[in-house]
Amino acid sequence: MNKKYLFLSGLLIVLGIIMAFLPAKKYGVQISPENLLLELTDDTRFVSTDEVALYLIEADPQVQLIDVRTPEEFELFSLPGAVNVPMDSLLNPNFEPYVDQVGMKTVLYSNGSVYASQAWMLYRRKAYSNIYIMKGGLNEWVETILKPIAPAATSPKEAFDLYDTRVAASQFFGGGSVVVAPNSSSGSKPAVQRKKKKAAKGGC
Amino acid sequence: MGHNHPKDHQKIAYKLPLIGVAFLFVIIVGFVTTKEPEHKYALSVADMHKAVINHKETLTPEEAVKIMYSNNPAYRFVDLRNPQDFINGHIDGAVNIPLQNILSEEYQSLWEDTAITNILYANSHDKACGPWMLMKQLGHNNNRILLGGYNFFKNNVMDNFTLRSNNYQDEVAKYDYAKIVQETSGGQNVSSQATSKKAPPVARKKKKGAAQGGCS
Repeated sequence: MNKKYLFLSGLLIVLGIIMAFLPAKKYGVQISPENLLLELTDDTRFVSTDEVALYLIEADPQVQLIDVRTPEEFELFSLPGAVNVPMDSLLNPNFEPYVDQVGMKTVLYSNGSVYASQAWMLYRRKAYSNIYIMKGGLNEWVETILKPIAPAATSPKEAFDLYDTRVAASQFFGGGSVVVAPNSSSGSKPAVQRKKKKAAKGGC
Repeated sequence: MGHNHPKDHQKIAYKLPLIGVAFLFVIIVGFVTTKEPEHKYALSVADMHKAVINHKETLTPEEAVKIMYSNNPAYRFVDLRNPQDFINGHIDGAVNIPLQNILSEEYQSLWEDTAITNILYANSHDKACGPWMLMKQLGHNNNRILLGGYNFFKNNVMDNFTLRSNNYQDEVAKYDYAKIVQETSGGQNVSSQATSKKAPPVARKKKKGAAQGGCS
């Protein structure tokens, strides 16, 4: 009877030794190429500048902005609360904890969309979850939030609503234009009118 | 109960080697039948990161134009957009591989053909970045990204070549962000804002002057 127990335990030990010498997985936990491609084919990885503006205005504690530009650019201008993780130190163990935070929504941004997309690819392969890209980057941020363009008079109501929201957001991020808003608008309108008159004169 | 117990015990002990062998069998079958994944990463994340920072595997629109007009056989344009977009317009000689199909077997020979360099393009530069990185990580090194993407190429290179045709870099800051924030911020210092806001009308006046000159 003892022999049979010995046989069994011997078997398990041999199995254990075999397991110990099996080749280890090369790169740790990763998302398979097929799944990565699947994520690339839809646009859920993007958040719009309007959404980011909303997060910042609401001071959403579950959103972490990551600025992947150079430290010099970051120094000159960055979004409130953003952490600078430059492109060349994306995989730096000192910075990675900012990106891989459980329960946090991480939004990557750069001047355009390219660097943020590249960083997204690297982080997603490492299976970090809740990683997003600010669509259009800071260039889009200026065009939509800081300097929103008024919709054409024939635009649908939604376009005007969106424009109003953006103007409010630009007042939030620009700060003082709240106070000056009436001045600035009355200041710019005559300029436009003058232009029209002169254009008419030019036409003779 | 007390009498039966040793007997049961012996019965189980008798079956133990059998159970052990069955256990081993299941594990061996498991190992033998595990499929190798079809697509395996050939590059580590760190190596991919280095390749990304290098910014080398790109192609400027100027180079693309030369290739397009010379029908250079060493290059092949690969259109990653969906078939509808492809039908509506594409770069001459391009092959359409919709993004979701880039890993399918159908196109494997195309990626593995190292004699021809593939020029990947989608609507924008960043949309071609992901596919390029994916193929690079799977070990396909003969791909380049068309800077600016199809939309830029179509509007500023194919249709009309202008001064703007050099602005294909997506990551260049178009604005001085800090300055714009300064301009739009600080309700307290209204005066400074007023001066900064007066600047654009001056520029407009100049333009008007030019128009008048043309008239007289």
